[in-house]
Amino acid sequence: MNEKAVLEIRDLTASIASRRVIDKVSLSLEHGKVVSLVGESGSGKTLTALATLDLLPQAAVREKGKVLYRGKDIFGLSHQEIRQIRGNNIAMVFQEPFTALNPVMRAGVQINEAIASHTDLSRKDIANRTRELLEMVELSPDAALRYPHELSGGMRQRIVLAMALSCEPEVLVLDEPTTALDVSVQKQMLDLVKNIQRQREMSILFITHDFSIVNAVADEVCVMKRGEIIEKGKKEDVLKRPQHPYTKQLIECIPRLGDMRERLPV
Amino acid sequence: MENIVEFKNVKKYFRKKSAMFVRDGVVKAVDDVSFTALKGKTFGLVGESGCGKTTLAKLMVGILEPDSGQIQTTGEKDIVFQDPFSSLNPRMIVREIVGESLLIQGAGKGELNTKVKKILEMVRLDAALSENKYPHQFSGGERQRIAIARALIRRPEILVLDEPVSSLDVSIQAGILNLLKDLQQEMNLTYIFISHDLRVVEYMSDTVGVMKDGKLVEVAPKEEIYASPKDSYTRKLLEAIPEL
Repeated sequence: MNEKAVLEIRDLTASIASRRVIDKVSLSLEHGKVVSLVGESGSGKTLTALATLDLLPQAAVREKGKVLYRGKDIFGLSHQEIRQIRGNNIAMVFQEPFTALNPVMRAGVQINEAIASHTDLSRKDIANRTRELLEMVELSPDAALRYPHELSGGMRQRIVLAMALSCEPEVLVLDEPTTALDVSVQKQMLDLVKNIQRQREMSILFITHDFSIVNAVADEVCVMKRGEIIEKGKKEDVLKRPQHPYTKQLIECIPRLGDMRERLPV
Repeated sequence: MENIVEFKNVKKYFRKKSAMFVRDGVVKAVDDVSFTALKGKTFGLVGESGCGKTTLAKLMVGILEPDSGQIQTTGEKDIVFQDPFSSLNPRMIVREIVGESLLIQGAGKGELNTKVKKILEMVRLDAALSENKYPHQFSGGERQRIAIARALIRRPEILVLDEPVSSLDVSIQAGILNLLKDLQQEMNLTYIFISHDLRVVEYMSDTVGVMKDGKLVEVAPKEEIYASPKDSYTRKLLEAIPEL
């Protein structure tokens, strides 16, 4: 057991329709660190993320393993207790900001609601907190008055991030938070996440398929393939000296700027 | 070298209807765009969402007509779209999907079957194993090969590729990019390669155009545009790429 871990996954194994979708996954996230879970589609990274909040789909059968938040086994908690942890201690941001937001509610109201559901602040304090959160995610206060369709993809993702940050969680689980965004917007979003993470000393489990994003945000990396973590280590080690042939292949098959190769390895 | 595609001051505007918070207006999807593409080479077009790349692709193959300006192309054209899930009819088997355009042209059964087999082999699919299957029986990468086969069956000279690898995993993407390079050699194809990914565009292209708000803000040989970008937007895009 890792004493410094805020969040720890131990030997987690789960199946859907008797197919192993999470296979003996272990990882630990220390205070103030960013661990990146990287892999291709279907590798089990999103399911692993969902498991940390006990949000695995109904069809998934958990066979063994634990998820520990500050040493507490998430799966042993009551419905009430797990609700307390979600949002307050561990918050999650999904890939598609449009589907995560209610299309008929103004953005500010949705942030208010996120705060109200986890605190007993007065309406005035909630409004103040919403203003603070918008500032934190570098949006102007009038973004609160907009409906999701009136906001750009980057702005929507900031609203979702503001909602996730509303109760000052210790752990953020970000599932491909920039995949649906344009490159220039992606960079701003990554910088923002990094800044907030450093200022608040948050711990982040960052899920992505993109090794250049891993390089931009992570301290440690876990590479997933078919439900298994096949390689893990410090970012520098894994990116510069990948040991597993699959990791090597995933890194080498991406065209880079100034790439002179005639063919990409497949 | 021979020009095969020429755009001269091409404009395509769309009228935007007024909605609750949006005033009546026009979207200048393609706004005074001029460029030429060379035969047998790849013209890469890069830009962020909403910049007009796909409108330009549709103008190129004649799905849309320009409001003004001239588009000249010498030779047959065809197109491959981004999403091989929605671009293939789920109720048709591969032979029907790939051969449909020949059928419309009045090809006989024998000719159609021979040509479909040949083109499936060219995109490195096992013809015997795949031609009687439905799209859902294939992976994303295989489906994109089917879409490429469909576009190539009438042997066009120009192939417009609109984000052909954007919905694929990187390991699958690499295979499709290699295949496209091989096919270009084998069939002397001219590619118009559209993508939001500057790395992929650089890897594939000879000349690159950067598009923003309907305009081509910079067009240059690949080596120049990446080494010494002149336009501030091109620079911004290049700087935004996370390094690896």
